[in-house]
Amino acid sequence: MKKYFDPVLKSDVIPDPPKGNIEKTIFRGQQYMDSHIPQKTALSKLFLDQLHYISPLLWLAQFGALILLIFAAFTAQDMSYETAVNTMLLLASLTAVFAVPEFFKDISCGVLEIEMTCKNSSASVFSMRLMIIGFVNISMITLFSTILSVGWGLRFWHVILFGLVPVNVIYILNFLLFRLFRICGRLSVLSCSVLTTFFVYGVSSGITLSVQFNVTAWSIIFVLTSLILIGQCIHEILCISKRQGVVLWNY
Amino acid sequence: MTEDHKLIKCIKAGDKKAFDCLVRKYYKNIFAYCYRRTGDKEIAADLTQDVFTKLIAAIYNYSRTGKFVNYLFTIAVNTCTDYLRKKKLYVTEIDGELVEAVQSPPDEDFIQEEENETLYGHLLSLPDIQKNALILHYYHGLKIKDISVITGVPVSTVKSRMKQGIDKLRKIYQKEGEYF
Repeated sequence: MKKYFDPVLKSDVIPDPPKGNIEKTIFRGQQYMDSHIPQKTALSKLFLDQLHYISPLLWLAQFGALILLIFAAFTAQDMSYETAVNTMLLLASLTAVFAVPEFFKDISCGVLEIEMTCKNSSASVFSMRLMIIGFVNISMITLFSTILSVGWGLRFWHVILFGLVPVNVIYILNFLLFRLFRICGRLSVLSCSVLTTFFVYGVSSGITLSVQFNVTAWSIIFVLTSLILIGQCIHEILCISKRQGVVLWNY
Repeated sequence: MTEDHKLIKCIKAGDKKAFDCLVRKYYKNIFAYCYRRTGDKEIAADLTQDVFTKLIAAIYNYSRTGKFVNYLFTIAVNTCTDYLRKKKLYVTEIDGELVEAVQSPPDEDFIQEEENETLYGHLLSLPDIQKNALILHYYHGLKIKDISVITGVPVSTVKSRMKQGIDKLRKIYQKEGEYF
């Protein structure tokens, strides 16, 4: 059939479209584009909006931990190494407890549909939240480490590792658990966050008391957990736009 | 990233020149397809305009999966199918033109033109689904796999439709005394 039809098909002539039709088509399309200019929010506005909507519990936890440490600084004259380490572990864990529900606000508070319709992409909203909470966490842990190292003569890098590693592990575990068990709802998310925090605190406290501190090992663990956490965050940011109103955890 | 996807990225960012380039690149191809489906130049022009209007409305949600030309042809196929369903177009005008053409002395160009019109007339007389598959494959050079994606049917269905269309054309030509 091809042998017969090919010459006929090749000589097939299509008439020219009516004059000006291409330009008319382009014009109509461009008119539509004019009415569909995507909204852009200034970064500062996005930052302030997200800051405004972060739960007061998070701020209470952060500053509560700081006040506890300052109180300990004034009352405890001599703090043993083990006590200082445990203090750091506890404070760092406290900073993470209320941060987890903030990351997954669309799931913990059921605001996915609202976020999908807002003028900023869900990915940019989520990224801004990550940046704010990440910055606050790192700042507070740095502040605790500074107070502990200056107040009790402990090595700054050692103390900060005791803060950052458990926080990384808490976040990694929560990300994993949410996906595995499809946890959603305010109470479930908060409960999971609290249980994970206590678990990580217990395990890291046990490890630090029973095993001699090795700065190299903890540094390696810190780098590894940071890489895993960054990977998980990137994955969440990339996938969040694919949610498109589909059932939660369906990506 | 292919050239088409680069243009789409620019269009999503609000670049009107990118849309201009995209339309000029594909207008003739889509117009040719619409003309082959409908047989009318004016209707084909209107449908082509509709295709690009639907494209620009949907482009902001377009995600890079597969070839852009398949996506564009999917819109074109659906637009023409919707139009034909509403209008229930039949080939009657072409038969009338052919009767007129036969009366004048034949020459080589005329014979070629007549062959084109005859083939085209017979093609238009086929059921829409068979005609569509043949037009996309033979006139627009689309692979059967691509036609399957565009029309949303399995590859075997596309092959079956093409075979049925060719068999019908063959029977028509055999009746007219031509063999192939």
